[in-house]
Amino acid sequence: MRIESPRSASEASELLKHGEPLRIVGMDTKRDFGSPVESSTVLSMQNMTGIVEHSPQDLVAVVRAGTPLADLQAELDEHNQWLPIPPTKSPLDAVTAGFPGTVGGLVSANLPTRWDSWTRGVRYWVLGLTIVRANGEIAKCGSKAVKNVAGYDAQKAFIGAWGTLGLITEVVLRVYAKPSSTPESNLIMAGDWDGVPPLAIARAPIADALTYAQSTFPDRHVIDIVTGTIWAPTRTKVDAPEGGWAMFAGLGDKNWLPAKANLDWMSNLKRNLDPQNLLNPGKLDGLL
Amino acid sequence: MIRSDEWLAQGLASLLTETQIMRGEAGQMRFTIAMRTTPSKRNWTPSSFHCSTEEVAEVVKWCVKNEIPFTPRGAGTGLSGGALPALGGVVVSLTRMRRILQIDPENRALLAEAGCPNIALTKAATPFGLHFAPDPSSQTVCTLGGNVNENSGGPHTLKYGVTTDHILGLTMVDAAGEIRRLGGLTSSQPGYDLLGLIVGSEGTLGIITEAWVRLTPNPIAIRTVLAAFPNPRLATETVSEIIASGIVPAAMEFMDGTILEAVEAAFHVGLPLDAGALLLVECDSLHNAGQADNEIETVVRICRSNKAIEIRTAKTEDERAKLWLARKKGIGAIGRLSPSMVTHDGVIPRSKLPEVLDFVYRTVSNEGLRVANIFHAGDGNLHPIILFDDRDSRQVAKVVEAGEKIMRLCIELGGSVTGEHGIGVEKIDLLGEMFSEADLRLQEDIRRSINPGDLCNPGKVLPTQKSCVEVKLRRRVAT
Repeated sequence: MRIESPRSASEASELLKHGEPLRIVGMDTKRDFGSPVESSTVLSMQNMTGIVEHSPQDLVAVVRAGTPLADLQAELDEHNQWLPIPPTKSPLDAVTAGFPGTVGGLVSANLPTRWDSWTRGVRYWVLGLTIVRANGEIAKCGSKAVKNVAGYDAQKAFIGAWGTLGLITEVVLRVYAKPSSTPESNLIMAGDWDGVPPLAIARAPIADALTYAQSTFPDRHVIDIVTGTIWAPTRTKVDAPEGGWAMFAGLGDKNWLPAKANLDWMSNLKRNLDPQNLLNPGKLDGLL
Repeated sequence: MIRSDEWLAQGLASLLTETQIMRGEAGQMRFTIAMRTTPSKRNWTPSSFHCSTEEVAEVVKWCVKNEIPFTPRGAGTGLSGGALPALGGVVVSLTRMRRILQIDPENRALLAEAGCPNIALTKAATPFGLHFAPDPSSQTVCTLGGNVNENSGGPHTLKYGVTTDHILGLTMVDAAGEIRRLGGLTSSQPGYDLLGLIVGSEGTLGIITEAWVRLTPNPIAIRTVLAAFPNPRLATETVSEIIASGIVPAAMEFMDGTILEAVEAAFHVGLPLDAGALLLVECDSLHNAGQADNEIETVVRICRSNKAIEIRTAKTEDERAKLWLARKKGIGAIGRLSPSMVTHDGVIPRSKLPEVLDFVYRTVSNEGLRVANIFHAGDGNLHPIILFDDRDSRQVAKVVEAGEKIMRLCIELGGSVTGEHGIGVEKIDLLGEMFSEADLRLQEDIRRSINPGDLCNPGKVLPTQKSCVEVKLRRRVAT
């Protein structure tokens, strides 16, 4: 296994121009989600770290994608600001906080957290991205303004794409003033579970979440009753909730339970943005 | 392929009933009035009115087969020309598809047809203590489909997020005429965020016919204040300070002395006429009233420290409506001041508001023109309204000049050339100034992944789409 650690978007661009398949890695906290990536070369984000710009008065931060979330939080904390991701004091905390690692990983996976009903989640915080495309071209989307409808909302393509459409090298984020108190928990827990994967994350229509969790994961589960999100340890693939979805860690290429709709559009996106399948190849197998 | 209007109308008549087709001068008038602009005569077009997704699909398939451009249209309130048939062809009007199909209070969701007016969604949700958060100023008429296509904002999207944060699922007719369903009752589905790409695509990726929207619980406490300042600078500094304090008000709206003067002359609301600017700030809370009280206290303190000359507080819903009146009626009242006006829509980082607004006043007055400002200050979304007389071609040139200077400054500061009105045909040149060619190639790759053809609302959004269109709308003459 070879590890490449570019220090900038332009170095990453040179690397991508070699046309070699790459497994993109931040802190690798979400490794077991999705299908295994088939690549002997790792593109590590460890040298693309640091806060480029933090404007406390605007509540906006520009951050290199390899920056550990903990580092970003420490910087923001000096101004009594933060990205509202729940603290992870226990392994179970980490599960319901979406396995925090790097900023790029946060955006690429777009996993739910237990504060989603309050904070609206990752998708809402992303104002802009810098992307190195599979062909090495560097492109930006969005802006540093908190409101922007100029052109297509292109950054949406990369949020939750697990690195398969482009390499995120820089993120423009909304940040928040730290509130005096955090909201009461929306969680219902069943069984004794320390949060160690393998596990399933599912989202059901709010009204069905409890029934789904009780019948599908009768022994152990955690439910966010306001968003209908369910986390559970499981070693077998279960059905997705009706009208909802499920994803798994540790089940190889059976890790996704998507709606079987519009896969042609998703394939078109992959083909037009990464025609040679160089970026995290295989990650979305079973889905696309 | 250029076809005669009569040929188009006859073709549509084979798919629809005669009452679903509008043609002749009536159609032309309708666009002229609704858009308040002058589409070239060559471009007027038969419009078809649809009553079902299936009918829309039939018409689109027919257009594709005959290589005829088609353009979706809602209430036509858009301010960037997105609903104009830039290449002629068929205008697909969704205004007869206005039913609310399902309300699901338990799941805080509602399914409605694309032609449903924005306000009707909130009306339908009110009995359940819920509402649809995006509230553009045109909300009494603008349609859900238009909101989705333009990713509309509104005063309260400062706290609650713009349209894309409130759309759970869509039914649409794609650019080939196939009916598609995206999303559903749950958000964040695995796979690429197609829904997020289609919201805000200005009708260029297909025709949206239905949407599942997320409903938001009504706040239990709303506190509203209207503060008057001696000049705009003190008001904008107040805005920056409120944002920096960490408070996210439900809404924070700015109105300058020119707006004030127009509103007072038209509606006699009793506004403090010696004020140079007004700030309307609303704080609300979903869970505990104390929070809204605390926030508004801080807001009032910041207003006072910035020399507010008067602060009015609403104690009842009636009083709240009164405080909002100046904001709601502001744009309309401006009509008294000038025969023509142009409304811009730039966005800047919020801390830059004081200097940018100074720049706006300076730039416009240097051209010998007047400007009125009424905008969503909390988002940094400026709407400078330049007043002029469009019969005077020298004035028109100056208006264009001043507008472009303001937009360039927005770009320089890392902001955007449009916060909620869209690119449409109006700002297609500016997009190329905001984004590099590489950035635009990425957008084009996204477009062709979902719409590989060039018939669905052509000539909009991307400069690459422009070459085939004669864009004469260098300026947008509004209201």
